[in-house]
Amino acid sequence: MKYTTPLRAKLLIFSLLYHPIKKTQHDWLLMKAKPLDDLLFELFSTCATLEELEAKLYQTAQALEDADENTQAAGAIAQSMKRFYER
Amino acid sequence: MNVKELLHRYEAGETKFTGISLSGVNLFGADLIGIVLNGADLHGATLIFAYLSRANFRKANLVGTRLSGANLNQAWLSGVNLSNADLHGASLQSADLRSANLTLASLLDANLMDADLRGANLSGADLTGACLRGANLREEKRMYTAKLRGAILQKVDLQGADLRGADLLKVNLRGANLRETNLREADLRGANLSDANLSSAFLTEVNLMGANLRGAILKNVKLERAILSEADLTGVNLQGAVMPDVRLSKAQVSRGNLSFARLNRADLSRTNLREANLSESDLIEAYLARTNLMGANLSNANLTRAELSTTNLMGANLQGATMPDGRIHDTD
Repeated sequence: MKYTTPLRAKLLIFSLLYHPIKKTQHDWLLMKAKPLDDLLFELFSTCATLEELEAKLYQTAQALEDADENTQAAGAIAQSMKRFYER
Repeated sequence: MNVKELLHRYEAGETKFTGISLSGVNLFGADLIGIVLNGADLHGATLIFAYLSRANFRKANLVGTRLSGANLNQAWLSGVNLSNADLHGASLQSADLRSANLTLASLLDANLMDADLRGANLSGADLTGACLRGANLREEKRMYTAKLRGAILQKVDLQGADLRGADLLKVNLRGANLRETNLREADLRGANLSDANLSSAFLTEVNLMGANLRGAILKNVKLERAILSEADLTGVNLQGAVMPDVRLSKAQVSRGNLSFARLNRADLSRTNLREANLSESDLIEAYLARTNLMGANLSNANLTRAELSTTNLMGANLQGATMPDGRIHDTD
């Protein structure tokens, strides 16, 4: 996942799976406790198709602060997970 | 200088801010690509999600700086003090971190692909889930010895990384991806490598004395002259491993798969190889004093000139094996 930082990816996936992340100490600690690997696996289990994954990622990104950065992250996550749906 | 002035001058085209003091400032999400802050004091500053690619932080003070989610790709961070810094989920791809002080830093889920970490001090740093593919941590002369003593490298991705001669004493590498990693002459004494994947890794002359390698995948590794004395290798897969002159004395290798392994001149004294699979292995001139081979499979193994006088071969399968005197063992 070269086109976003791992924390940006975590923020977006966490917001999609649980609740929109706010810049509070509590939410940052929640993100720290969840490894990126686990979040990616949960995301894969939640979305049955690549189309569903992309729709949910972009929808979540638009609803968050810093929509541009998060939309870029959505694209990077979808791109890196494409191969798992093609198997 | 305050934050407002810095951002104003940077926007006006100024990039060189050598040696300035910005300790404790808040630069959350700031765009400071290519900024020159060498020798600057930024300790305790907030640079979360900041854009700092190709920034120059050489010899800067970044003690306790919050850099989580920051983009530091291709940044110059040689000699920087990042001790106790928070780099959770930061991107440091191809960054120059030579001789950086990263002691007790949090590098959780950080991207360190192709980073130059020669001589960096990562003692006590948390690298859980970090990606270090292609990173360079190799020892180069005495001045560049990467220190990772006691570092947490659980589930870390180090595929293809260069860790030659690195100090990895007692590190936690449980479940790490170490495929094709160069660990020649590295010090891994007492390290936890359980369930790690070391397939095709270069482990020549590595010191793994007392290391925990339970359930590790060591398929096709190069282990020439490696020290594995007293290591726990219970149930490991060492199929096809090249390990002449390896020292496995007192190691636990019960139920291990060593089929097709090349163990010529290996020291297997007092090694526990109970129920291990050594079929088709080469054990020419191996030293097997008081080795436990009870119930082991040694079919078609080559034991030419091996020392077997005190070996426990109770219930071992020696069908087709070449015995120390050169004769082929028959089924009886």
